[in-house]
Amino acid sequence: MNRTLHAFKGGLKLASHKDQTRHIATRDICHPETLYLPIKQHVGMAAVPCVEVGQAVRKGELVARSQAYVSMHVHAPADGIVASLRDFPVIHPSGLQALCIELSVSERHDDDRLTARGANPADLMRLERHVIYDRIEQAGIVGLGGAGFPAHVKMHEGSLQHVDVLIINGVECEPYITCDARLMQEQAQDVVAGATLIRWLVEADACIVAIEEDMDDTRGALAQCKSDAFELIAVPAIYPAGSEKQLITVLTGLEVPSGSLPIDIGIVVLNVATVVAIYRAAAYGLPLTERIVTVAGDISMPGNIKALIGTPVQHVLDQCGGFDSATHRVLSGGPMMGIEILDPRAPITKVTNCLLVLERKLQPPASKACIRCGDCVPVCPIGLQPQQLFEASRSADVDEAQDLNLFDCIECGCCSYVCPSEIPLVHYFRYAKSSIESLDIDRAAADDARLRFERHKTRLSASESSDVDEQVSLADVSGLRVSELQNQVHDAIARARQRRKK
Amino acid sequence: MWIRAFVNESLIKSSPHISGARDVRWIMQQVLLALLPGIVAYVILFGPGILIHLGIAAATALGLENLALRWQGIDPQPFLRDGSVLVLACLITLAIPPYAPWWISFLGVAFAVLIGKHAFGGLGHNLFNPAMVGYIFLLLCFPRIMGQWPSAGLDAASRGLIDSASLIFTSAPDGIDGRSGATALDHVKTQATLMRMQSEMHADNILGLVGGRGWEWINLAFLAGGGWLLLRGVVRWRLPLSFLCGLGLAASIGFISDPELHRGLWFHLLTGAGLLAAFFIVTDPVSSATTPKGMLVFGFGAGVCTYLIREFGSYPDGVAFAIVSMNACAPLIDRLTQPRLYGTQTKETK
Amino acid sequence: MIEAIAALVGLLVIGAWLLLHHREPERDSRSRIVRRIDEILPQTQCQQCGYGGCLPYAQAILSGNAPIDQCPPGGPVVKRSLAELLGQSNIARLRLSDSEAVDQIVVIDESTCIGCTKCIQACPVDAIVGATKQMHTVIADHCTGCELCIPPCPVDCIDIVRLEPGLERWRWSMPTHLGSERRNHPRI
Repeated sequence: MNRTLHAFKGGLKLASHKDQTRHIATRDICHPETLYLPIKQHVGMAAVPCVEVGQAVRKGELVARSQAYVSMHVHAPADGIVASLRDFPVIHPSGLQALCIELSVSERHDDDRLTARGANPADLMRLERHVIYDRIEQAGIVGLGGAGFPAHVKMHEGSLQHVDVLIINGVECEPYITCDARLMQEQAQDVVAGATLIRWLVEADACIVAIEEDMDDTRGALAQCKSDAFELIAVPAIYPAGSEKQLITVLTGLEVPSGSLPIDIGIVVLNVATVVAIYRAAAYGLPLTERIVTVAGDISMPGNIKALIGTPVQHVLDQCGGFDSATHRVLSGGPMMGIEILDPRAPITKVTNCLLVLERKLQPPASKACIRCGDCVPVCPIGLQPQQLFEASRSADVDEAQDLNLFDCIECGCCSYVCPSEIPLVHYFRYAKSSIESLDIDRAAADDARLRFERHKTRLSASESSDVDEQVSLADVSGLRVSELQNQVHDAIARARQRRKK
Repeated sequence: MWIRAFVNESLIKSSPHISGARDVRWIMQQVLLALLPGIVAYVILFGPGILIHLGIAAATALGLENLALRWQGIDPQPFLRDGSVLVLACLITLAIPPYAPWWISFLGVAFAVLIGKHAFGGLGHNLFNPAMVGYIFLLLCFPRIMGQWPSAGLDAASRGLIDSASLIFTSAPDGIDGRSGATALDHVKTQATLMRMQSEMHADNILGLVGGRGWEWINLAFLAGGGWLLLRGVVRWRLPLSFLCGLGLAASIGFISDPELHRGLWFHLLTGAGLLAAFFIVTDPVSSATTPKGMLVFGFGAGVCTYLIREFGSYPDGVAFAIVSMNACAPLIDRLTQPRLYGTQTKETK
Repeated sequence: MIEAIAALVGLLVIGAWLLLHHREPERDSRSRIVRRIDEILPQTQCQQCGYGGCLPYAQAILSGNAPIDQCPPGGPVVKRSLAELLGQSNIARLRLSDSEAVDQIVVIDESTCIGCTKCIQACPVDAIVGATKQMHTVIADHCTGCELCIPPCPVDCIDIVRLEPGLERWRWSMPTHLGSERRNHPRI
């Protein structure tokens, strides 16, 4: 417990608003009649559906299979029948739809597996490590803190290199969110078991469970378990202390080199909910089909609820007292980094940690000109110059933006928060990042096309010189005159265009 | 159900979805509030003339800002509301002799708003501090009027509002002869050229306890205002402190090298626009450096330049020239003082 | 007097050094510029510009025969890059967000295809596979949507498919409602 804590630069002290939900026990809600399972709930490639419309599935059955290294399986959260595979609103900043598996939920069967096949960490540690890895992958576990990086990939990378420190992240630095705090309080035993198991799994020298310093109940619950598998450390509640890079700095004083991953400096960071999910997958073979979601903000019955993956947001909010959509809006995640949910039918996914209802504020018109006050500079946890990046992003100066290290930005939102001109800085940075990425993709595609065009040309000229007879012109084949041929060409294009319009 | 049939790009808002309480309007209100003690000190020492000029300057500034924005096809409402142009008007007025003719403040503000600010692209885009640009314009075009300051606390202070108004609106540029003269900085400079030693000047009427007579109090009032700004977090310590350090250090070196030729630390800090500059002019966010280290360089450079121009240049006060020169360097300073990025440390702290 | 002259000369020398040191680099040779223009072009080889492909168009641009806005697949992004390269600054004021390049590919209706291989020969980027009397298919990742395969097809079995902006293709756009933005910003 005598580890010295370090400070990261920048950050903000935000009003935590956690008292609204942190003392209320997690509750179940009645399940919806229909679940919508997006096939992509994680970082990486989308999973591929492996069920047919009309097929009956059991709870926990695989419905979409991962087909790439960085991808994840999706399981049925309840017994039911696959009603359709179609585009459906999802939680995404664009408000666009994505392919979902629609599942009509049948009557609920009691799940007895939890008691049936439980294994304690000591038993599990007698197994081969790859067996555990396999179970984690089969359970479809992704980082539950918000990023949604497939857990088995992270663990696998961890197993390839020496791990100095395993950090279990229970720091919810975003205001309002308490789902991890409640989880640690209510399921402290599972957290301890998970920490023990994963520490053994990645062969880490040390293991730290980090929590926020004003979370006394959580600290008490974990301290009661008296495990020597990990150190319990409370870190100051400065946003974004729960961000992976910043947490590493606070706990170890190390910095993740720009463009590298934590594992490159021997550190693995896992969210605490992910740890519990991993333990359940390893011990009970339970796939990830439900999670704890904080429902907070201007809603009559706030609290943490246990929701099946795929439950529509509207259903959850209705169960918590509902809200007025004319005056309020709903965010997925916290107020600093969350996504506004443009369509409430969108389902909860593996990474939805909070549904936050906030009032729509009608702001007076602000001049929104950057006065270069520099307020954004000291709060940036990365040490960027947001005011200079803003000018570069606004004028779409790609090179300048990259010179100013645009891609080191973690989009924490501190700069936008303090900006007195209320400039949506993070929005500008995201715009610039996306523009640069799409330019790069286009460029790569063009380079590829050029290469193939050149080969095509060389091949043509080679065949031309070898046997000219083989060359057939279009006019020869169809036996038409050139003018007729041209008419036909135009007709053909017109017909194709017509079809496209349909 | 609240469903949007189509996705309108303008509906898409990026996080964060909350913001801090400070806005530009609040900042400018705090600055205006902080200028109050200084203005009160002015009125006590020089009479109410400055109030008339403040009125003219504010009206001019608001009017021209409105006009300039409309010409560019921008809704002027939010810009007029935020009050930044009023701060500009106040700063110019404070640099103008209180009984200068009315068109002086009008011209100064007009030049500052139109050329100093909007010609460069408006709020946030001006390379130079617009207030200083306006002041320099006046200083270069009307050096005689700009040099005629009334002696503080003499008959000027006892003059009434109507009397001042008639003086400002009717008198010819040199109609205030006899009641006005040079400032302390001016005096020290002219006397030095007459080969008088600093020790001989101590008894001169125009000098006060440490600075120019009266100016000490005005500067202390600005110091109080500056303290308020620091307290409210409107101004951060780097720029004012480094400016005062630059000015103080240069003055101390000069004083130590030859006390008979150069005035000391306190004289320079408390005379002329010393503290006004430190808290209200150097700290202009738009035209100063913005990186933490850059702010130190900027302030220090401005301080040293001020001293050099005061002592060796031909103008009595060098604040305006010093700050405008540093403004020109600010983008370069920013570029050269980029802070270290997270994850790019060179030495291993392990 | 001498000091003043020395100071002035010193300033002159420093100024001259700065100017000359940061001079524009040597002008590129013709072939290098053609290569750089070709690198900017989208390489769809669609010939919608009226030239035989991207490289001939690049050559035509440099010789001054072709305007730089004749490339529909490239859209404003290509136009802007070309303008930057060639110094046609009035066009350079385009912004990235103006990108309206149509994203499309073609697909072959495999039930109608008779396996004549004409489209395979027409495809400039080898994106169609198949053999005589065998069904053909388009490799979607390689197709540039140039439409050159459509006219030769005797049975009209090739369709143009617009790529919808799905989640994977969605990009953040420029924030709106900025008071300080000029309303009448010059656009092309």
